Amino acid sequence: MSIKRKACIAGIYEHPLRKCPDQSIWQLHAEVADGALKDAGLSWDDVDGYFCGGDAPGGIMAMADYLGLTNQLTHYDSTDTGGSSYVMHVGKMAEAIVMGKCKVALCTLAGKPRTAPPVVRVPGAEHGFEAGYNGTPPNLYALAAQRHMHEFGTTSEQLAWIKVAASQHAQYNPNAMLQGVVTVEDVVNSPMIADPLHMFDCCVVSEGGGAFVMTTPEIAKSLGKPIVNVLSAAQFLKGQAGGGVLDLTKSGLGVSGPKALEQAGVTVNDIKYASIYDSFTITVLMQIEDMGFCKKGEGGKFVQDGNLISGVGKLPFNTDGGGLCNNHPVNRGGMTKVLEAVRQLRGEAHEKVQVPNCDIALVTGIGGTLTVRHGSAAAILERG
Amino acid sequence: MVETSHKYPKVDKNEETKLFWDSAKEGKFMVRRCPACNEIHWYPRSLCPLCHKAETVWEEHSGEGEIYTWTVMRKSPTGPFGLGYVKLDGGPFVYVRFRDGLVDDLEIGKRTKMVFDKISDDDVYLFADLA
Repeated sequence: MSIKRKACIAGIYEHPLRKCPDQSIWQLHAEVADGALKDAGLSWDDVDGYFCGGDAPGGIMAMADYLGLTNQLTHYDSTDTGGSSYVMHVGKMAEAIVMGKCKVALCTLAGKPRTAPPVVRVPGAEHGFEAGYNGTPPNLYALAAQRHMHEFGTTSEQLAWIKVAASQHAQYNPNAMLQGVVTVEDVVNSPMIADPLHMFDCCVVSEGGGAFVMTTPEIAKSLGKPIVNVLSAAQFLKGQAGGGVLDLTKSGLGVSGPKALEQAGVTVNDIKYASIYDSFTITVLMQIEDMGFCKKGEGGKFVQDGNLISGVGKLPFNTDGGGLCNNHPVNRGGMTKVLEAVRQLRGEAHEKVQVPNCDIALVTGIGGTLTVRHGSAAAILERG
Repeated sequence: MVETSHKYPKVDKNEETKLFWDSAKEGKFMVRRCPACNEIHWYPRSLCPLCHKAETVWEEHSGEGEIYTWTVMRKSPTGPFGLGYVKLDGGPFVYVRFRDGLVDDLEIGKRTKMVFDKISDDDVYLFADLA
């Protein structure tokens, strides 16, 4: 059984704010949900499926109840793989629709990492052996960059090109957190955070969030919006698994990416636009290799000289400015990756970055921590 | 043994790892080896996470290995610190922080040794030092 062309993303919404001192987290979930439903032309009463991450305060029952959705949901899922959750949920929502579990599925993300205390999670078994080390995303992703440079000669300047491309796109996004165009020199001269990653190799920390609505092709066609089909979605967990084998130059997308391509019946040559998870520049570079856009180790050469800039290079990526410049809400970049891919397929991206004849788009996610344990997800979307 | 100046959380011990932390106070670095596949793994589990065929057995390890990757976290309220993965001799990769103050000489391939430093009146914690 396949999900190919059996579910459509019908509505999207990205919260315009990047700092939200005056809203509650619940209120933000409601705002983005309302925005996505209005964009689709659907009503709250139509929603019978609800998806969120494990970070939704109180859990999915409390969140659904706050939203007024209890008493109408026939399917719900808060499976959490960090920032990749929302790319994974593209697949889960489509599967639920194909299986007839729901007809209108809503997925929301919202939060305030700059002003609200982080959610404390029940620790895993590794806690005793890891919790004291102050491992945080910048220093843990740096471990991958260091090894990649060692094995393949990748340079800081090559990584910098990824940020440069994102900044070229962000200048056209009035809501982007960082709208200034930067150069390779700016990136490599920005303060070192965790060797070899500089400050400009890191994504923004932003508040707000986003939402999307998925439904059946029949309902989608009745709404009058451009159709965006889900072609495929795949996921893969990567971690230490006992520490016997470790290759930190590869992400889980090395499995989930090719699987998504195969199930969609397309190749990397068919991808006109890619939303590539960009928590850090190294995250993008490794995923480009893992997807098969180039060979392992050649990502540095692939991304340099503007190859990711829309209208300039071969692989336009993150045309909203991505997590590196626009928005990485709640430290979970998967939601905004889905939203910009839908804008591109609808032809609704900013005219300066809209990819001509954009018919097939890739969305990727790496959630958790790349070098410790992470969930990877890939989804292929198509203009209907 | 180095007295550290940083604030570390209380070590989270459980039924499976109590022996490790008790031995650590005596300076012994313990690992678990599987009698079925004969491999040691990290962090210690009862059922072998590599072959899933047998209950693993404690043994002492020299703690020696080499750096697989490293970083120095520069943006830290308690000062820069080193972090990395060490490949243990004859065994697994271990995610570990380097001993306090070790930030200048880290390099992939350099020889290392596991050490236990005191982090509170009650606890020692595992770090890596250059051999």
